[in-house]
Amino acid sequence: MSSNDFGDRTKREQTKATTQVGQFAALPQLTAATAALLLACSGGLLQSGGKTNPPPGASQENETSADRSAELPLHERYSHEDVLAILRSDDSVLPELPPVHPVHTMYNREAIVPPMCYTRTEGQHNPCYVCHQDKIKGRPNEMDDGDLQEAYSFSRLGSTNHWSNLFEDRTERMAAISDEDIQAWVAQDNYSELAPRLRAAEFKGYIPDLSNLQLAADAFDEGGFARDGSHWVAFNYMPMPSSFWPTNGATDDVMIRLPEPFRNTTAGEYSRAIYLANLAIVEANIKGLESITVPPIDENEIGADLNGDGQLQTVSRITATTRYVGAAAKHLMRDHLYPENTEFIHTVRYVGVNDQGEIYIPQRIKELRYMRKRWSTSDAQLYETYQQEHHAKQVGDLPGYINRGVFGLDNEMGWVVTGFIENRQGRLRVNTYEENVYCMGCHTSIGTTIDSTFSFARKVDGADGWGYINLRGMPDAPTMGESKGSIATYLERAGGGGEFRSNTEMVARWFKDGQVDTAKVAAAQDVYTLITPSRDRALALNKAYRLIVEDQDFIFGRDGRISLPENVYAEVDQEKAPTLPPERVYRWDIRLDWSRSQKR
Amino acid sequence: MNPKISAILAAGATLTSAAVATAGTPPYFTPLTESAPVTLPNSDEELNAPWVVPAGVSQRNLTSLSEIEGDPMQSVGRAPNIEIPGSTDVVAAGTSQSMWDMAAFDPTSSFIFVPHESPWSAGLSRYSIFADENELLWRGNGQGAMGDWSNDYAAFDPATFTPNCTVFVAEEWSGEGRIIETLNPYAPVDEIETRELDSIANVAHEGLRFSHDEKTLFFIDEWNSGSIYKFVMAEQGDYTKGQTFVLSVDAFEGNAADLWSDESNVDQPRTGMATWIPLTDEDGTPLTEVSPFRNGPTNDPRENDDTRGGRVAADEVGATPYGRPEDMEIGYLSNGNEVMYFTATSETSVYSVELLSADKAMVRAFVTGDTATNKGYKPTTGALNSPDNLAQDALGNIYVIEDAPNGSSTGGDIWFARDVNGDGVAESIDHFMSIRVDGSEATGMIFNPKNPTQFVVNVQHPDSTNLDNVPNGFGDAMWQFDVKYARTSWCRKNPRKCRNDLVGRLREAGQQANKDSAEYRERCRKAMVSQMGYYWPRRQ
Repeated sequence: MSSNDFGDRTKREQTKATTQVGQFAALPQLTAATAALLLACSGGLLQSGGKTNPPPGASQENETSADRSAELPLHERYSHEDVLAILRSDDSVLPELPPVHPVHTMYNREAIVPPMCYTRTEGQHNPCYVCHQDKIKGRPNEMDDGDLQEAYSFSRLGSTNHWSNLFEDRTERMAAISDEDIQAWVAQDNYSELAPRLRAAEFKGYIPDLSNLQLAADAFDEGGFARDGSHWVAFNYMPMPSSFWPTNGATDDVMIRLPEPFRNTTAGEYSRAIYLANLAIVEANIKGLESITVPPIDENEIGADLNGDGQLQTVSRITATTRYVGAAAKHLMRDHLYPENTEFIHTVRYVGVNDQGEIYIPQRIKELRYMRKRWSTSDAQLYETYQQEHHAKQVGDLPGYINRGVFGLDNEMGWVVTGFIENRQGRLRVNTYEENVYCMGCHTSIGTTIDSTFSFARKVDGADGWGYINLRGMPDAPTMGESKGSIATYLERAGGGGEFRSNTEMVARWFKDGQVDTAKVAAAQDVYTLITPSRDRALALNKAYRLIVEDQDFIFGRDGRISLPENVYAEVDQEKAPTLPPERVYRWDIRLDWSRSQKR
Repeated sequence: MNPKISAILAAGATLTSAAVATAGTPPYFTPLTESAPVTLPNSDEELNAPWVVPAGVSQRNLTSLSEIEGDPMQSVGRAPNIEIPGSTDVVAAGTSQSMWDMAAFDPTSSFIFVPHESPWSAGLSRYSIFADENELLWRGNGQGAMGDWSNDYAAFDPATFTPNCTVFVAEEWSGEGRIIETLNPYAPVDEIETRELDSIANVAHEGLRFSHDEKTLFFIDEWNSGSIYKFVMAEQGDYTKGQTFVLSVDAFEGNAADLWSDESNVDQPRTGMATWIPLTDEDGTPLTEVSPFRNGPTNDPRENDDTRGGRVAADEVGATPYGRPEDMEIGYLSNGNEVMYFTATSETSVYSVELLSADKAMVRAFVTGDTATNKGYKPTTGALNSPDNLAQDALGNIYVIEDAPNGSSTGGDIWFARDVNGDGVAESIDHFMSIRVDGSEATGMIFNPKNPTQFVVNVQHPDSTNLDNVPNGFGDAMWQFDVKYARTSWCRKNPRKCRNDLVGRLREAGQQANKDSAEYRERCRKAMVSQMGYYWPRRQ
């Protein structure tokens, strides 16, 4: 029997695995020598940010770490401290991790509960509604967790806020980084080498295949199509409030790719017209739209009457949104679900800012997140998965996902999620297990998503929304079913410019006497004006995050806070924490009503 | 004659694991002190010793997906990817492709029948203990993945060997809530015959057990407003006609349609005196507006109008809702009364239902999250979590098998419920076994009717079942355990004073049960000869 490739990260590692545990080796293993070195190193060799990482029992004398650990069961020999020690010393794209199931080295088994869930709502501020929503009839999302707006509902472990980076004072360390240095850092390309490094390591998982993505908009044509012919398509969307607002620390972009039949004619030839039509039909299906605009498409090229007028001609609106076209014509369409093998890339980047204070999306990528709809689940499977989620929450089970090894984590709703994040030198590397688990809560068990995703439902509708993200000129569209701008609404409901109400610049800009300055917000030119930071703030945010990269302790939080937030619980007493009254609990739809906004 | 012995004599063999004379004993083993840490897929532990067990308990692999699929003479259920007509789209089941669930021994202990809980193409396998060979007897055509259940089945959770020497399998979280009976389970594959039992209410089936007198079939609806049912045959042995009842606790005043945990129900009593309320008349004619026999999906009847009929009908008559009832066992209390145990997974509880008469019962909390653990022994750091399956040994001891969540750092546990005084309330749960296969769940624990110190348990849906992810993965597997060398720590220290130990009593009880069920075993042996042409053990 050959060694399996569940964790077949590198040929070198596979060989080691076979050596250590015989023919049935699974995940990459450390050699005994490496393990001993690791344990020795973790005894304090690596220090960063004032943190040391002594291994268990480090104070004992005349005994090596390896000796001590040998007395323990294998799963107890390693902890998150060992993982951190590796991450701080290993420059490879695939850090060599401890030879145990990664769940045993997790620091925070509730890593799916993000920092913002620990906000102090104080019975009046509600930033929670954008994630936790009641079921919307007709959608397959059965999480139905609108009640989580009202009150905290954590497991015992989750009651403790493990995101200690929120509370770390980085003032002195930030001051030691000059503006020039951070600007130079942010301007660097750390993407181009990622794919070659992964290939050199014989990585079996997803290898980013979109050339020049570091160039942001320049990697795509005006219609959003990747210039390299990889069939990735960028789209323009309004970022989710508020973690993805540049003013709170990051810029981002999202690209979608549909599988080959959705791009080809029935004869198997690529057709941009067919791809455009299918992208539009997918968008209509996800959003539940009966018709949708498209860039001009010649129906003759597709061989289908897209607008139902009985003629084949050039059209700019599709009304036949209930079936795909071209080679995908016979693919199953299921309401509010993507086709199997749909892919998304999401890059989270630093906040680019030029000398004029203009904010842009820079080359340096903080994280590249990738998800692929690997399985098309049956209705019963999907329903059962949500039932199991409810059960797990009810009985207080800690979260868990099917581990697809190098392919990522499977949310059991069809999606496999993985990602890459900066190593200490700023080079992108594969996420650790715990870093990957961090992504899973939002992509599995909250009620607001449509088929486990966020941004596509928030895309500018139809033809206008194809193209690289551009907040300039984007109106503050209201949420579907509402009339006021969605950002204005969020500021009101959250009582600040973010979940923690700690963004003083947002408060200074858009609040007056403790209330949202509605006239000023309404008069704002565009989304760019509303949610991008000043130059100083952008630089500070970048410096703060740079320090987390240096520490590699993403497991303690990825938020590059520039001040210590006051409105965060370190520990939630669920019995005593104030709850929100019914009038401050909101039904909300992740979709935006672009028809009720005017492009400026 | 002891009423329990009498009952056993009359009983069949559903009764392969039925209690003989006592309702329970202290543990015959030294309990574990912690749950097992999970290991990597295809690890040495998964391949050689997937469970952490008490001293003296042996484990050996009977078969696995990898073994069966590596042998062209064997077959097993593995739900295929279903292509969407005219396209390259497929619907795939991933690690749920095979899903070995609650197994059933035949009374001759020649075969173990294993249901496949796959989301489509569900079916029934027959594992021959003597030949060490597995055969897929039948399965659906897979079109359920496209919503067409006319020739497909899904999510078979229980397999139950019946007093008629047939096998029931039943649909749980997918399919249409049906019970399918394999009429000639010993026959060659191409002669296998099945039928759907329209006489039994459609619910999300799991626990499926006959009373000792073989006249009643008990079952549950796995739902967070799930009820407890019984089907009383018009004529013993005729599964096609009878009257269906649901259980209603007399003091319950909540809303039967709401979830057990909803505000309307959470503080309502779910224990105490209860009444069996009819859903049909004696001929099976529905007394409710919605027929209990309506096929349909498992969903919330408050929001849908196509829910499986048994659930809706139970709501109509005010059946008491429990938190996701799952498996069940039938045994005896020390007072001689028959008792039905069922797990309520969402309530972290196991209930006992003392069957007082045709229409009355007493419901007690048999095990809860507050039940003492390892009482009198070294404590365990493990705690009861998501009790799912049940098993019963020849002494009447109940075992509670957890449905461990995916991604947990420890595997699911198996607990020994200690009810020495036989009053239907366990004094302790003792940490018996713990699984360490990543992503897996222990299912189908069942004692061997001919060898009472042996039992089998399946490893269901481990990471290694998905060959895309783990090439050469070991996959779902069946393991056999033997407790004959298990001893309590006291017995190990005092071997001379411990000659008449509990394992010995277990062996004796099993032997007695074997004698008592000789007629039933002979009946099924004849069926085997008739269907198969020979009797397996003699042909070794």
